[in-house]
Amino acid sequence: MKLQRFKEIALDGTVRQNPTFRLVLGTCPTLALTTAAISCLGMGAAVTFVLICSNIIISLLRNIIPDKVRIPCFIVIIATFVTLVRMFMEAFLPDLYDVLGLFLPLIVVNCIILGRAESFASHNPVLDSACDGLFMGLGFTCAITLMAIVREVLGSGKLFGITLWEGFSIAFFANQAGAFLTFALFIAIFNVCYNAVERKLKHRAAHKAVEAENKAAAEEA
Amino acid sequence: MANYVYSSSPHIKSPRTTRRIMIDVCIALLPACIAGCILMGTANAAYPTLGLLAFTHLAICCITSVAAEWIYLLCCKKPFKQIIAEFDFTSLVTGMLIGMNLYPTSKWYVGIFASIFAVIVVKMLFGGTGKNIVNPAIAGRIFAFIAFGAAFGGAMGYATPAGEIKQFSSPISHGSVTAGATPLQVLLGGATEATSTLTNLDLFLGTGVAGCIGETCKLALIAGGIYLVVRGVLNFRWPLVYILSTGLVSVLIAWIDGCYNANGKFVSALLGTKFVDAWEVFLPSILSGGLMLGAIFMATDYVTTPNTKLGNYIYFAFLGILTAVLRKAIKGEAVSFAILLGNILVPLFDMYIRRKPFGYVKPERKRVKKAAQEATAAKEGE
Amino acid sequence: MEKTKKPANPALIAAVKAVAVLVIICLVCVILLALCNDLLYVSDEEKLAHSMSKIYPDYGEGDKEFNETFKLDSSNATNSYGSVVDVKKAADGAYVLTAKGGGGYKGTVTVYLVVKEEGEGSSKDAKIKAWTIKESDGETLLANITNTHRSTWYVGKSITEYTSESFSVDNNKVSNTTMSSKAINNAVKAACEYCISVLELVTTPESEAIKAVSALAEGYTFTIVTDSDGYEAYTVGENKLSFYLEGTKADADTLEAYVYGTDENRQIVIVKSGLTHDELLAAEPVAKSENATAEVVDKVKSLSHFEYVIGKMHEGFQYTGTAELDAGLASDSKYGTVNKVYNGADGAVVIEATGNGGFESGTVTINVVIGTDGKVEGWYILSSEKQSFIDNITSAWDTVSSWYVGTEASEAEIALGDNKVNGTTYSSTAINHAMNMACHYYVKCIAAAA
Repeated sequence: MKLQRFKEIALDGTVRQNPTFRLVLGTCPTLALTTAAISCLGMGAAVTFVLICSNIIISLLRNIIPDKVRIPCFIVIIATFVTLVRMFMEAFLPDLYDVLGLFLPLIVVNCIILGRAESFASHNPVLDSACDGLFMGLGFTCAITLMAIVREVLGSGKLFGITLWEGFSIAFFANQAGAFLTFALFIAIFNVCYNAVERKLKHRAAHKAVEAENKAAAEEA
Repeated sequence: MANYVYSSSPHIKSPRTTRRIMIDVCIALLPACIAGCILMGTANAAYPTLGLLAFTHLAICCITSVAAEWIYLLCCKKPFKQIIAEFDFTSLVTGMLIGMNLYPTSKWYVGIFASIFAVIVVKMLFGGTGKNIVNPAIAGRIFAFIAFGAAFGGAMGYATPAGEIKQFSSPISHGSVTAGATPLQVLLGGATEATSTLTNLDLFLGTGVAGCIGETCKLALIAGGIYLVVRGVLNFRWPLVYILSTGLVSVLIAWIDGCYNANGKFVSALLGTKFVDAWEVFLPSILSGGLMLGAIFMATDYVTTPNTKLGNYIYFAFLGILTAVLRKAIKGEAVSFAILLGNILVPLFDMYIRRKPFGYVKPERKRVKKAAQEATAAKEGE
Repeated sequence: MEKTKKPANPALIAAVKAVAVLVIICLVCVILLALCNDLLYVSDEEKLAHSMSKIYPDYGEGDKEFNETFKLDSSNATNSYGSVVDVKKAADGAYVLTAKGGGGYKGTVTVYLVVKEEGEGSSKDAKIKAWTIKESDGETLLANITNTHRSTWYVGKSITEYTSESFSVDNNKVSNTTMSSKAINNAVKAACEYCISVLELVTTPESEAIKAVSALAEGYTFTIVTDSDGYEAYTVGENKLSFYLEGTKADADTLEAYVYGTDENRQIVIVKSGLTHDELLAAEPVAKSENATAEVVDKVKSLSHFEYVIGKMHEGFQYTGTAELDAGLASDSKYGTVNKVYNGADGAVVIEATGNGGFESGTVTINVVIGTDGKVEGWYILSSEKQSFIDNITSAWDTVSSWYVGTEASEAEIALGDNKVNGTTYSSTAINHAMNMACHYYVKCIAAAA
């Protein structure tokens, strides 16, 4: 697969179409689990795994699954992988399993996975889909972990479970209301930075185009 | 070339600017602040520094609010000179109000975070002066309550059926709070001997009353309110409606409550006697808690009240009912939550209670007139 | 003529193909999952071992087989707080109980509790060493209960404290997770109660008494009615009554057990309940401990518990038997019913009456003592139905017990008057109705017959 395509998918997954901050998909675990950074890493890993596997399978079967039953098929495939992850976690990572609790089965209805299956995996070759799954998952993990770090440090004075300081904590951020506020602020800041960078890149590209034109015109002259 | 100001009609020149109004509000708040500091300082011989702490809180909140607004505007790339030139004291008012809503025993950082939240999130992010969705001071106070609980010191007290006052701290922290029961909690719950010796005069003057810095001395608050009414900033009807309706609904609730015997059955025979008893609750319920401060200064914010007269009457009566009912339900201070809920509902009020447009004539009359004209025309035509 | 083939319906084919694909995918997934389930199944033992490795490393290899001594006593495993699901022993002799407690947000929470015995003889105690959550039935916020809570709640407390303040939910809960905390609290209490009553890790005087009495009467379940307060009438020389118990067994008579003294000097006499004075004197006790002296036995035989209770209101009451009820007069829709009439040797009677008109249309059942002069000499509450505020009356018993005393039974209608407790008007009314019922029946049947 061409390097250009790979770069495109990678950037899409992590920055341009970041599922949490740009597409605003999968807000349920984002709002509920970001009180502790460790659980976010675990959830992100689980979601990434499910994304990659389901994307691969759905991409493989994309010509076989008829249009009319594609959603039920996608859901069955996704649910299978989620159950696999759950069984694996229960057997080998019981601590993480306890922390994630009810949110592990909820990955099935996480919009990111169904959304990518529907919009990407069902029209693209296997390798592309796998990469897309990987980078979308990475984007999601980074996003929620960042949010979780902020919420955990401000809300309970801990970072990854290690108590940084005693006594001072703004309980608002550990609360549900703080979840919404943090989420909103992160989206705002992310988009501001994103727009600024994009403008700069466009500006630079336009500048280069103008220079090239001038050069060509100068040479002709 | 001269600077021309280009704007559409009406062209009215008036000395009444936002800045003037806000300065008036600041002046009106001063008596209450000073009274609060003095009362806190002299309240308890064991804690002589409370007055100084109160003053510190007020100072910190004012400075933080103003600084927060300026920093936000600087981040929006506004030149500093312009910020100072356009400074309209709204953030100073917010700061003073938040300071008055703190307890003298609150931690020093509570005011800072509450002010930052109130000014930046509630006011500036939504568009600045005149565009806040809810009253920033109320939002700041509630933020402080949720975020800091014990550190805020404003524990919401509630009374258990056995009559003991229990404090519950913020939903998040598990610290225990050791604030004394405020008179409101005494009123609502049945209380320890120590705090039930307050008379209505004590409540009015704020002597010996536990509570927030600015809300204990009702006399000072009313003085400030009268100043605002005289200056034409405040419409005296609205706080009056709010306060009276709170009192009346509290009486109503106490009346009906008194008619339930211990078995939980409603005894209609008691209606008569309990009615007279219930009126005892009227004055204490008006003079307790943050009602005066909320009614005079915070609920009457121009931005977060309805546009029409009728709307305002209904809105403030609604606030009064809500305050009385919530106080009964949560057995603690409910003014801030009632005002917050009211603020959120204001657009609803505005949608259904519309102003009459200038020059508006009701269509029915026109139709009748038209029908009469047609009738006469038909007659003439015959 | 050629047979023309019907063109196959394309929509039908598409539909069939769609369903077929879906079914195949489902089947494949199911087989895959079944395989993995077999491979990755986590058994209960593994879960226990994993939890123990975190909270109680001394769990070790230990005696983990079930054996007769501490096999789960399933008939006694459920109590008012929850139920004990499993009992195991750790290598160092500590007990690991798996208990389930209800009252959670969506259901139950199962916890592991490690209890270890300490001390010898009279200072014997059993302390909680550690606990952790095994699983829950739908609780979503269990992650809020962190390791800090696991190491502070309940740890180091004696299991005898499970009814005290230190075990209350208010001390052991996390905000936002109140209901799950309650379920955990119930589970821990259930485990403690099991330890005390079944495993008998710690003995309280009550549990010892029950054990000693139960040993004498096969198959009976004994409960302590009262301790020695106010039972001076039973004192025989140096021997004082420690406990009075009642024992029940299905399809058998109720027994009364009198326990004198404590520990090794314990004397127990068990007699049948409900015997008349003469029958009691004549009959031998159902069982008695070997060291029960003749004086103690005589005392028990001469004063049945019923006579003792009534004797406090009507001195010297001797129970001679029950009288037959006049069915027609025994119930009155205005007041209630008369259930039993107990005759006394000297003509005094005790009437058990149930009065209606209580809170939420419930009833109160009382025993009324009417003396030979036709006056009410005393009464007490036996039971009540739906009276949520009856505690207001029982807690004011000092004043309440003097209601109606001295009233003539022949009074046409005994007024409620001042015989009510504020806030408990309905229950007081029910008592009044029962009183009226008893007195009217007395007048119509008993006095008339005499």
